[in-house]
Amino acid sequence: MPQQGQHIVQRYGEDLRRLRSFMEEMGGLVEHQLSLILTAFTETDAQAISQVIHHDKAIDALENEVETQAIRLLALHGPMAADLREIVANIPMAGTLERIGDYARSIARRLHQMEQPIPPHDRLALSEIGRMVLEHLHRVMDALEHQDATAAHSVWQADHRVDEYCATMTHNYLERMTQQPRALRFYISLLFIIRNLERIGDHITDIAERIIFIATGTLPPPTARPHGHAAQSIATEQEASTP
Amino acid sequence: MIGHILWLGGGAVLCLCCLYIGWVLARYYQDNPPRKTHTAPYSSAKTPLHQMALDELVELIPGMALILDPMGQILACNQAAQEHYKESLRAILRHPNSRAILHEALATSPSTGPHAIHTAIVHLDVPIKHTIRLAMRHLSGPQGRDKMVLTLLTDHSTEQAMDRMRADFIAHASHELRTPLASLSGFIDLLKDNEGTTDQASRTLYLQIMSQQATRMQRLVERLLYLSHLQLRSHNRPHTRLDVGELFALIVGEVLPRFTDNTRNLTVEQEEDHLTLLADEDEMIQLFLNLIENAIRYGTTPDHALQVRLCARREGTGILLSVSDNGPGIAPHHLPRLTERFYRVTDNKQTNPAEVEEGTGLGLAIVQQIVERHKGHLRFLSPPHEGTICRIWLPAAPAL
Repeated sequence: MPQQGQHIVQRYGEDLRRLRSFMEEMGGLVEHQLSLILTAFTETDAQAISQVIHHDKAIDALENEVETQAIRLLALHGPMAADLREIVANIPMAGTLERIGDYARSIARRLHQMEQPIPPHDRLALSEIGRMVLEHLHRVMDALEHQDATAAHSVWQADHRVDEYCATMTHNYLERMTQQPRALRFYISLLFIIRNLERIGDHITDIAERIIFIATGTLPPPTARPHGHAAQSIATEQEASTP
Repeated sequence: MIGHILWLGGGAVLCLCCLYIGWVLARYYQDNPPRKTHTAPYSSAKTPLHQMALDELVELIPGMALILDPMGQILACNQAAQEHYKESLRAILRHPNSRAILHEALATSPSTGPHAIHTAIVHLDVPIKHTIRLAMRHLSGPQGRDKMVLTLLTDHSTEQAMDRMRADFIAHASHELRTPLASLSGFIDLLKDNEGTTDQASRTLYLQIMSQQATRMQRLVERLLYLSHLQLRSHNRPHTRLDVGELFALIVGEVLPRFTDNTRNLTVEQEEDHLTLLADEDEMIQLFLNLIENAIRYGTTPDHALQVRLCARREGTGILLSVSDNGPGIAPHHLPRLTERFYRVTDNKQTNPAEVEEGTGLGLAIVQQIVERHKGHLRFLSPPHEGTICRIWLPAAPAL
C-alpha cells in the first residue's frame, strides 16, 4: 500500500522536525537565561535573576521531551546514517544544554546573594566574558540547525579565548583576595561566577563536537582543542606560588 | 450530406480554437516567463507551486515579513528580513518570547472569531544589541489544513540604543570623572586656603597637576562621547567602499608629525594593490590613530628606536590589517582584557607612569566597537620579545 508508506514517511519527517523544534526551544531558553545574566551583570536586576531561575523548570521539561521523542523515533522508524547520528546525539546535547542552564541558575543565585555591589570595572569584565560565551552559544545553536560542521568547528576553536579571559580574571581576583582578606567571601562568589562561565564555554564546545559528529560522522581528536596555554601557565604559576 | 458538412465545419472551428489557445498561451509565456523558484535557504519540503506562492506573498509585504510553520521553521522569508537580520534571524525566532506568541497564535483558530495579532519584544545582546518587535498572526488554508503563521518584524534597536547610551554615559562619566575631579578640587582648596603663603614653586607644581587632570577629564569626556556615538550607529553597517592604500596614505599623513625624530619609525606594507573594504573612513582613521597612539605610549623604550608597522593583506574572504611595534610587549594575562572599557595596563615597569596615567582606558574599547560595527574580528598578540601585534580582520568589499 503506497499510501500508507507515504504516510509513515510523513510521520517520520514530522517527528524529526518536532525533535529539532524541541532542541531549538531549549537553546532559545538557555540563550535567554544567559542574556538575562548579562543584564544582571550590568545593572542589579532582581527580576532578571528570578526569571533565570524560572526558566530552569521549562528547560528540564524540554530535556525529557527531547529524550522521549528521540527514543520514539529510534523505536518506531529505525533511522539510518546522518538521521541516526542526529537523533542519538540530541539526547546528550539536550543534557548539555540543561547543564548550561544549571550553571546559569547558579550564577543568578550567586548574584542574588552578593553582600556588596560589584565594582563597575568588574561588572564590565564579567559582561565581556558573558557576551563572549553567549555569542558562542548563539553560533553553536545556529550551527546545530544548519548541521554546519565548519561553523561548529570555529566555535570549538574560539573557546580558548573564554578560557584565557577567565584565567586572567581568576588571577586578578586571587591577587586582590590576598590584599583584602575581609572581602574574601565576595571574591569567592566572583570566582565561582567566573568558573561557571568557563564551564558553560566548555559545554558549548561539547555541543560543537557533537554537531561535527552529526555532520561528518567523526569526532575531532580529544587532544586537538586549543587551550589557552598562556593563560593556563598563569593559573598554574599562581597555584605554585601560593603555599 | 448536410451532416458531413456540419462535421467538417465543426472540426475546422475546433482546430482554429485550439490554434488560437496555443497562440495566446505562447504569447502569454513570452510576456510572463515562468518565475524561477527562489533558491531561498529556508525553503521547506512543500510543493514548488505552494512555495512559490508563499515567496511571492512575503515579498509583497512592505517591511520585514516571514511565514512560519507550526514548529517555528521558516517557510518563506522576504528580502528585507533576510538582509536586515541575516545570522540573527534564527536566534530571534527561538527566543522564548517569540516561541510563546507562536504557540498563542496557533491556539487561536478561525472558528473562535477573527484571528488575533500577538506581539512580543525580543532583545538580542550579541553580536550587536538588537531590539525587535514581532507581530504574529495565524493563517490557515481550507479546512484548517496547512497551518501557518505570518510574522512581521520591526526593529527598535536605535531607540533602545539611545536610552542605553544615556544610561551608560551617565554611569561611566560619573564614576570615571570622580577621581580627576577630586584631585582638582583638592588642589583648588589648597591654593585657596594658603593664599599668599604658597611659594611660587609649589604654586606652579599645583597648577601643572591641575591642568593635567583637567586635560585628562576633557579627554575622557571626548572619548566617552565618541564611544556613545559609535554605539548608537552600531546597527547599520557601513556601505562606502574604501581603498586600503588610500586609507594608509591618510593615516600616515595624520601621524607623520609624531614620527619626525630618529627614535620613532613608521613603515607601511601592503602586499597587493586594490584591497577594498566596506568601511567608514573616519572610523577607520580613528581606529588606526588609537592603535598607533598606544604603540607610541606603551612601546617606547629608552634602549632602541620604536618601529611601528602597518600591514595589509588578503586573508580568506576578507582583509587582514595589522599594527605592530617592537616595544616591550604586553604580559599575557592582560591580553584578554585589553578591549574592556576603562581597563589599563598599569604594571608595566618599562613605560613611563605619567604617560600611562594619561590614558583613558577607552582607546581599545573604541577600536573594538569600530571592528564590531564592521563585522570584523580583533586580536592582540604579544609573543615574548617581539613587541605587540594587533590584528584586525575585516570582510572585503564585494567585487564591483
